[in-house]
Amino acid sequence: MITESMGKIIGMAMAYAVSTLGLLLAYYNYRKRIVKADKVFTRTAWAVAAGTLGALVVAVVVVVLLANTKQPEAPVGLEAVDRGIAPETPIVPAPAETDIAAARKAPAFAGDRKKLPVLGIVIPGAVFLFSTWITWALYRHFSKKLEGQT
Amino acid sequence: MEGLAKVVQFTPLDWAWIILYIVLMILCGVIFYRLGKRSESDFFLAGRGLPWWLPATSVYATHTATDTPMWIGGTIYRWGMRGIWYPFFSAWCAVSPFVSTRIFRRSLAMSQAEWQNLRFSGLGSELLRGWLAGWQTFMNMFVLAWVSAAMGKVCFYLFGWPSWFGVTFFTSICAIYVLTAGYWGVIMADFQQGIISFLVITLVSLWGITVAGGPTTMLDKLADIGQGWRINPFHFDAFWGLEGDKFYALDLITLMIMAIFGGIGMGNFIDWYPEAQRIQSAKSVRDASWSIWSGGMAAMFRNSFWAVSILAFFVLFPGIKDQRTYEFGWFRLGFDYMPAGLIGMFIAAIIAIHLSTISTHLNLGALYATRDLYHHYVNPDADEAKLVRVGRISTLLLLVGSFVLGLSMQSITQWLIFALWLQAAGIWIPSILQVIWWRFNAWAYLSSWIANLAMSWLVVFVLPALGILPQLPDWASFWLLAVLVGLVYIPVCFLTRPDDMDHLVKYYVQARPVGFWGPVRKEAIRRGLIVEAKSTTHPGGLFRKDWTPEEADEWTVHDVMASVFSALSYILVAVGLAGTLFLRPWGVVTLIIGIACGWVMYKIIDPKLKAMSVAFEAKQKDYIDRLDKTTRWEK
Repeated sequence: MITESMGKIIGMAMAYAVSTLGLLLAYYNYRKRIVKADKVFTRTAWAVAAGTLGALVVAVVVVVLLANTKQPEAPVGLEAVDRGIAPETPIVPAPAETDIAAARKAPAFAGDRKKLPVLGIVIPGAVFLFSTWITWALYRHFSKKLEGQT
Repeated sequence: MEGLAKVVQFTPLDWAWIILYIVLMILCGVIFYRLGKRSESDFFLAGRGLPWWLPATSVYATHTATDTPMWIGGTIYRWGMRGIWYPFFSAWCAVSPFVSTRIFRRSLAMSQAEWQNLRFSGLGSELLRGWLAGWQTFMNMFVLAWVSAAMGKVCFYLFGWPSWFGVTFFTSICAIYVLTAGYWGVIMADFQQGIISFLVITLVSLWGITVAGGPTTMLDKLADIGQGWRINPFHFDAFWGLEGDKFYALDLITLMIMAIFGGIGMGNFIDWYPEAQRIQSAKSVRDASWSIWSGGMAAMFRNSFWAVSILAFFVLFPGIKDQRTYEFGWFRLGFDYMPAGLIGMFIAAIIAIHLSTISTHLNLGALYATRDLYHHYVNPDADEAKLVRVGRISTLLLLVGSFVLGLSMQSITQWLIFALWLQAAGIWIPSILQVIWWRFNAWAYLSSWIANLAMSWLVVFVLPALGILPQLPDWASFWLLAVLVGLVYIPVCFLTRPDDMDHLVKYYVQARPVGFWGPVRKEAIRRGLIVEAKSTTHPGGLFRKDWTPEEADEWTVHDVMASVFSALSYILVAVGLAGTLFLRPWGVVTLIIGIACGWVMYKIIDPKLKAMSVAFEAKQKDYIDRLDKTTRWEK
């Protein structure tokens, strides 16, 4: 079972891993195609970079160790649903209990929708015809341009 | 589990409209097959020849994703009209047309990764290009997975379809026109889908307001239940504070700064990457600028309609506590109250929003995989036919990859999207610095990306979990991350060498960036590559119409004033339209002032953009040839 925090970490790690692959591909190509490689870092810069990276790694390890020793809090949200502690809430939810009566009076539910078929034909029809016409006009315009170029 | 399937009843008329609209949307893309297959530039940029209004509708469609109505609905229901500032980040489109859009369009880079190669030099620039290309290819696949998974759930509740079918069905039919016609199919279908979704959003919102009794009744009911403050977009709990469930003035200030100054940078927001593609597909600098401005402004209109209709939903159902229930408020207005036939069109609009998001990310991910990874690194000598073929294969791989992720790792994709928003905080300032400061180099930008990962974990997840740091409000997290990441990239910048001056001069002459470029500019003048414009007083002042190409290339007070009036028009139109929908006199006055600001902005900047565009287009072919040589490693 993947927790929310673990999911975030895995997701970000995957994204950064793929970016790193792109970076390595770029590095390989640069070395292959540009023979004289840059010397971008001074010795001091290398030392500072290596020191910072080392400190960061140590900090992350310490923080993760500390986080693991901390008592887990009661799960909430999706985690709670997944563990069966809380009832599932649909992503596209049903109306709240108090809304049901109001929703049933609404035209969409009560079958009154059939009383307004004219609007349901005229508006979508007009938009549909306009969309069809504009698509055709655009195709004609850019096709002519293409013929002019060839 | 009681879902919407039990509330909404589809009639044969609804089904007829759903099917007809889907067929129309697919055909609209597919018929451009002949144009899309011509070249890499056609498959990914529609040949760089589109008039402004085509990418503009696509910009609007891009800013409207499948989950946007849920997100905006949730913020408005929770915060009242002040929640309108959360989606206000789209206002980077107010300033960008006159700053970053203009600079990026002049660079002619096909992707943001390619731009890094033009802006920076040496190994650092290549590493950045590879990094961003990998990031964007993967991220687009992730976004596809996440959006498809969300659509799978919607389909389950609407139609009762099994999850796997909902995840794959609409995404697959969208892939038909992306695979066949590439960006031509994307942009043409986006145009049509943008129009359909804009009309339906307006219609459903007005319908909802009417159902709630109209604006006056809504205001009365809000006042009766002591919620009158909800129509005030400037209602704050305090000026500042550290409680996460309060809305502070500092939240608004941070959001404004993020949005408006964000328009100066490139890559500050995840929306920048698809918009960068739209910028390059416009036929001129001027068309690119107006496409971004208009698309962003359309999103402001949309937000106002949504905001008022969500308040209508609040009036109808004021006591909903569960976030997932009230987030669906706007959909409920349509599903519960619209008549037969219009429900079908409403579903068609939801599908249109979904398809425009999917098509954008399929083509965009394939662009980075093809142009940056394959063409630049794997096979620089590939011909156009092969590049189009690779574009199609990349599209297909992204599609399959998104299905695998969407069906097997939904929880991870869902959380990652949240992490993406967070990710923007640490690289917000570096994304601006790379545009405005010549000394900011590739190593500094790359280090900011990497440092941001560690810092965001620490600030938002790890330190609060350990009790070392409280759960901070959004404004505090943003600034803390900005400072912490700055502690890494600023030393890196000064410890590494500046970019090669020849490279910088070449970039400066072509793109003419704004900001602190003094040494590079001096060198370009010394080499006779640009002419220093004489500062003279022209008749017409701010509204001058006669610009020489050299004068138009310079940054002047006109650019500043256009940006100021543009930002004002975005703010005033967003607030004014909402006020107008409430039939408030202040709303009408604000809206009129907002429109007037837009008109003043247009009068100030359009003549300059015209002059600049004409001069730049004359040189564009040479620049594109040079760009292709760079991609093929030819010096």
